[in-house]
Amino acid sequence: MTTRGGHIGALEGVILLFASLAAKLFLQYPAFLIDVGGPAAWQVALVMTASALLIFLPAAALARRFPGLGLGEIGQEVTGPALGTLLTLAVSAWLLAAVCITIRKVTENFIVAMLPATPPSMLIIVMLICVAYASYRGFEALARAAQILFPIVVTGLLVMLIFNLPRAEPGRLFPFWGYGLQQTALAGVVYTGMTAEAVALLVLGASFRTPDALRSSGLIGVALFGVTSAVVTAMLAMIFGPPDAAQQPFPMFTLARLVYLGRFLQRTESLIVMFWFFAAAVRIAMLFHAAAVGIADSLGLPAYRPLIFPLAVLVFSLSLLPEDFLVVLRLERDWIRTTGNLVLLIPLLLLMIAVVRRKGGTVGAP
Amino acid sequence: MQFWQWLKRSLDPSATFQNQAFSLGDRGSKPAAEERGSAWLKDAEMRTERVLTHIDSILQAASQGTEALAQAGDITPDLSVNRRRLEAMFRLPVNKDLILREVEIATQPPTRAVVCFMEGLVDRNVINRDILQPLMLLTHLAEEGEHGPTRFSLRLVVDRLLPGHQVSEKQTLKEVADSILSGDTVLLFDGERTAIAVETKQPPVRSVTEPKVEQTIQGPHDSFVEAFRMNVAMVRRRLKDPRVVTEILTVGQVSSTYVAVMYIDGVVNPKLVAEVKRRIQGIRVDTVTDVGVLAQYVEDAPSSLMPTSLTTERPDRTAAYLAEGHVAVFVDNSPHALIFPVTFWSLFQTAEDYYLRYPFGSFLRYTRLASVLTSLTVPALYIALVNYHREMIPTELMLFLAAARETVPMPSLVELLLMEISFELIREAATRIPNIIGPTIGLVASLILGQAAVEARIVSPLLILVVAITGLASFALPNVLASFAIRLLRFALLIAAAVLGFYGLAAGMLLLVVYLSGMRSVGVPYLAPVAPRMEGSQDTMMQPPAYTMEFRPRHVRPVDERRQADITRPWDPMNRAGTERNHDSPQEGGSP
Repeated sequence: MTTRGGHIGALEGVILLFASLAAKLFLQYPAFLIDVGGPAAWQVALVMTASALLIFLPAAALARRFPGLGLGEIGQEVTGPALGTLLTLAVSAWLLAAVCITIRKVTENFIVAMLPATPPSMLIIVMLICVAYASYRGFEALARAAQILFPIVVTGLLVMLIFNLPRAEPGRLFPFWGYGLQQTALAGVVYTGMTAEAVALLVLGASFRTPDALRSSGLIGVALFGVTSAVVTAMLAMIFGPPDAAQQPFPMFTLARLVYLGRFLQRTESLIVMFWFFAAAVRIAMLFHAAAVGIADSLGLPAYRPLIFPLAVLVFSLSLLPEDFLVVLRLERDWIRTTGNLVLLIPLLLLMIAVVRRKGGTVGAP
Repeated sequence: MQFWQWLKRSLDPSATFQNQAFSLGDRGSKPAAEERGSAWLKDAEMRTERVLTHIDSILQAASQGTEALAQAGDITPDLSVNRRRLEAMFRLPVNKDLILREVEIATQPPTRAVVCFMEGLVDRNVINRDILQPLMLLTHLAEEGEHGPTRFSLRLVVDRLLPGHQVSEKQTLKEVADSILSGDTVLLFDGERTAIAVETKQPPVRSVTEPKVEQTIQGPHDSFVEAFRMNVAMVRRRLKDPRVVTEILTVGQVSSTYVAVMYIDGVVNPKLVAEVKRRIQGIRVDTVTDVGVLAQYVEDAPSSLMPTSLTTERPDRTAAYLAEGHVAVFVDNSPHALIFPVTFWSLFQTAEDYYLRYPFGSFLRYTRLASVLTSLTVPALYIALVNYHREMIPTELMLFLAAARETVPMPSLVELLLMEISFELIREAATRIPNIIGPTIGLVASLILGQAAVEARIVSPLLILVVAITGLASFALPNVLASFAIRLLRFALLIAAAVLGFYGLAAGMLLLVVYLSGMRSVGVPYLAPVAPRMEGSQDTMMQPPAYTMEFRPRHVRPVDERRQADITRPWDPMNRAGTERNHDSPQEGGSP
């Protein structure tokens, strides 16, 4: 059994998942939603949340069937050593890919926002030092750090939304049904992969005190994220108008630039963006840690810590591979999001096999 | 020949000198191997003698039952032998501290005895009045009526002749030596295998004074002193509960320092007490001189900048922590107590917070938090703003800044580091300068240095403001160790901000938070009860009103979680309805 560095409860899990999902709000995610949903982008977010909640249920049921085990061990238990290892490695690889894409996007964001003359490799190295250290200190330390930093991140978000309220025009949310109910619902279902990070909780399942804590973390975390993203997309649509908002490379950053607190304090976006760093670091650290633990679990390694440095080097090299920001965006749209849907289906697949092969406890079986 | 000798001496006097300069030995040579060998041999001889005596007395006692066997020691009935061995142990006659006074006890027939004590550690009046006088002059008072003149027996001495308040019997010379060293007076009798130790301690201690660091305006003004017994008594005075336990351990092969572990049985978690004791008992060291040294041997993260135990000089604060289910550790000769476990939030708290009403206490704590954040981040923010994010500075201020900095040739980081290091210099010098002129020198130095630095165009005027605010803020934290940590960490954040602006600052802060989140103090998460969130007392930054803190802090896992009744103000009309509905007695559920 891999040493994963402590145990966490439901509250920490909720905050961790929410912070790691909400970090996407500061990137292109709201623009994607507005692109497909138009004025009804917030409805897309809600539909997506509903389907994400549904698709997380098998993961929760799986955790209850195999209390105290992570995805790596569950996979091997259910499907045998070969397929189980492969499935977990696939999930870990997806998590690592998400880490690479996120780290590059965050870096580009910071270069645009505050450090135009700094090479991206420098920022990536600093971010990776933080991430590797957080993973080294263990999941418990990471979750607690997320809990301490959470109010700061939320304050950063609220400041932007509240101070831009006067610019919002509710008329821009009409037509109410956007591009049509069918399009909204379809987009919502397709975008379910946006919450695929929730599967990281299952990978780290052994770190939760109880299976119920894992279930609450996943469900409440996803629900909170869904509501927040609905509010944020609605605000962006109201402030910029759907066509403009969909074109913004960093819509939230543009929003931050609009914040005007008075003549004495101007252009506060650097300060606000600094708070985003915390959200981004928590997200990347959690996915990175989950990937490391997933690999260690699936390969039967006794500890995940020796993997941290090699994985960090790997992430550094991979994140610098795309030649420009557009390639990163295309990679995310075409690969990360689509494969995210598949990753979310892995727990469902495992659960079905577990039921058929009568593996694990009967509690929580559907 | 004579002439040449004379000429040589007059030209170079040192050429004829023998090598007479004192040295403790050259590099590579073992320190005084011969002396060590002979000392070791002498020691071994004495030990062997004592072991042989011990075996003798065990053999003698073997026939007299288990009780006699348990009491068999290495003291011989021959007083002169015992005296010789004690002299050897204490390096007499070279050592002048141990006093061996040979007397005759006025029994029939007279019995020879040796009174042993350590000069300076004992109360001479007690020895004269309560030990020597009854033994030498007043034995007739214990005459047994018609049974004739008083015959010597150990029981007679203990029960009738020694009016000392604490008298104990010692069977081995090691126990005798320990007693003497702790300030007792030991009596060895001719023909007896048992020695008697009488408590006569009066070590040199200062009287109770006001706290030096943790002063308060409201609240008690006494602080701990160097005698741990007095410290324990000061705490006990505040906790009149028979369940308050003081366990005494000894640490250090040379110093044999008393370490007292204090807790309230029935409140504290027994696992916590066991762990603290286990750590203290595990120390293998020659001397422990202060709680600061002990802390480094028992803390979870001794190399960490932030302390993982709380040092306090206030008996009231120690008593409050004990009542909450913490463990206090006292070290003899140290005017501080160590509290285990500690959380990050308690570094912001003072005893006075609780004596004031809760809004003031909370306000003060948030002020301290603000001061810590100021002290940590203001220099880094300044550097980040000036070097990377100039757009954030209001235009007028930026123009003024640019004008002021125009004449300064150095980059702002060098400027700031120069001033910060000068400030640290002033602070350190002011601490070392004798008390009366210290503050004046500090003030004068900082004023003149700042003024001169600006006029010499080494630094810009705004920077003086930044350094002054930072310096002032770093004094507001009540915990000395934590404020040292903040002083050092601010340099780390300063460098981070100088390299990458706000990004570097954020990375530094994140690393700090992750580091703190992973820390533990005797198994308790350092950021509890906030992260992880725990039920029970939420007495962290926001201080709850005293009458609402019904439970002890959950993170120390007390056995008895309830601190006070649900309704603590039963007379209050606002509570009356609730009292009648929920509680027949306001004391229900309270601790006994």
